Formats: sequence, C-alpha cells, structure tokens
Amino acid sequence: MLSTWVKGLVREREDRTALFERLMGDTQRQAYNMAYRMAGNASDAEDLLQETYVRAFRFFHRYDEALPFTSWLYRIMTNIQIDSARRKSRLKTVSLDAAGHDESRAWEFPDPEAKADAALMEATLAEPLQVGLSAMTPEFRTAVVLADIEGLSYEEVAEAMDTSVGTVRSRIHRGRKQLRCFLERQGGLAQ
Amino acid sequence: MTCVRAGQGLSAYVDGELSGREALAVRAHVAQCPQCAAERDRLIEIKQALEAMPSLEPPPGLEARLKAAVRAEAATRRQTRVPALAGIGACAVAGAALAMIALANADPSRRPLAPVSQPPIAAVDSVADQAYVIGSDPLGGATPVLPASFGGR
Repeated sequence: MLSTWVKGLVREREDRTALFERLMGDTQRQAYNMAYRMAGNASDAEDLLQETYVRAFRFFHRYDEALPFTSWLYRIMTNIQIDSARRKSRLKTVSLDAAGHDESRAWEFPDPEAKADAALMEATLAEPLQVGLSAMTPEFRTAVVLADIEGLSYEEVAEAMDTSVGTVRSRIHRGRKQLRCFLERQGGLAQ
Repeated sequence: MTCVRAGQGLSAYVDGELSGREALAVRAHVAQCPQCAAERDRLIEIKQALEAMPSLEPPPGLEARLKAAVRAEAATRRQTRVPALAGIGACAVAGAALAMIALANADPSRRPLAPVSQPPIAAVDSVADQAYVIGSDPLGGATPVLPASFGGR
C-alpha cells in the first residue's frame, strides 16, 4: 500500500515536470521575443529566458492554473530583468573609498561599455527601435514592451510589474517620451 | 484642462486607458491645443512603430537547451531533498528517545516496552526515479534510507 502511495508521489512529480515542459514548449517562442526586446541582444535574451523558466519551474507549485501561464512567466521575467539592471547600476556606482579595506575583495570593474557596444551593434543591424529600447530606463522599457509589443492592458502590466495602474500609466508615458527623444536625436523613426 | 494635465494623460488617452470623463477632457483640450495635438501624433507614431516590430525567431536548439536546464533543476531539487528529510527523521528519533528517557525517570515501574519490530516511517522521497523510505532504527537510533521496494512495503 505504501509503495503504491510512493509511486503515486513520484508519478505526480513526473506529471508536473511533463506539464511544465508542455507549457514551456507552447510559450517559448513568444517568451523569447519578449526576452529579446527586454535584454536587447540574442545572447542576453537566451540567458534571461533560461533563468526565467528555471525559476518558474522552481516555483511551479505556486502557479495558479486559472491564470494565463504567460502572465505569470512575464512577472518572473520582469523581476529578473529589473533586478539585474539594478545590480548592474549598483556595480557601476560602487564606492572607491571601500577599496583596500577588505583584502579579499577583488576589484574587478565591470565593462558596461563593451557589453553595450556589442548589444548596440547587433541591434543597429536589426532595428533602430531596438537600440532605443535598450537605451531606456529598465522600468520604463518593461512597461512599454509589455503594453506595446505584447499588447497587455495597463491592468495586466500592473499585475506583471507588481505595481499600481497609475504607476504603469506614468511609466508608459515617460518611456514613450524617452524613446521618442532618443530616436529624434538619432534622426527620427524613418527606417 | 492645462497642457501639463493633458500631457500626463496623453499616452493613456492614445491607449484607450482613460475613464470616459478623463478621455473627454483630454480630447477637448487636444482639439484646441496644436502643441498637445502634435504630441499625441508623435506618441501614436511611437506606439505604432513598436506594435509593428517583427516577431523574432528563436535560435535553433533553444527549446532543447531550455528543457535541459529545467531537467537539471529538477534533478538538483530531488537530490537536495533527501538529506533534509533525513534531518527531520533524525530529529523525530531524538525527540522520541528524550521522551522515553523522561518517562522512565519519572516512574521506574513504567519501563518502556521493547521496540516493535516495524520501525516508524519518518519520510518518503525519490532520487533518480527510485523511491526511498526514510525510517528510524529503534536499536541504533540512526536514520536508514531504504528503497521503498525493500521489505515489500
């Protein structure tokens, strides 16, 4: 009797993994597009997508099957992307006064220019708009991508970004203005 | 309505995300303010350009790489859970032993009986598709981890 129960548990876990893989297969194309628009280049997009699915699998027991899987996935992707952007900006502003206090600390300065250049180069070949997206403030970019590329309503964007509809309205407006200013400096929208 | 107020609501107006009252106020302002009308047109242009961005093709082999990453995560989770359950089993055994000692000291006439031959099961888990039962050893106090098939249970 116990072995039947144990087998049931194992089967249930296998079923959950199979279900997750099916959902992943159904959504990976759309999710890749979203990841690319947020990350700005193919390599970072794949890293972002992989981290998103692994984290989604880790917390799959919390997924409410009544809700669309992509909404939940975008919420995870948004968190990862914004956290990563904040970490990068913190790395750039680390205090030099702390140097030498901790001998074990390795002073490896990130080279944001090199990464940005590679991303810009790849995006320039593809689309000027992508360059503009990559240059945006992460929170504004995420809101604009979710609304204008993924076609989410403000309420759905608010849900994905874990914020209020009022904040989403402001982020989308400021994001579009930021993008417009960038494109005007680059010579307009003409492609 | 001022240009500043109208400007703040222009994107939401373009997206149809304003309430009826707000939308009417913005529309009335835009109708008589050429600067705000021009701003509205630029926002529409940006929005349409974003909507028209082509859908990107995932690189070849992406789905296989994603599946491999998820399966590696699943394997890591299975392996880390057994030691955790063994720890819970060990705590249960230690707790039971302390309780027995306390009872024995309180009343010498109430000696604990010899342990039953069937050890209690503390937890169940699986590693690499093999189910395990984590029980408690009534003699040694250790926590053996045995395949579920062991002993036909």
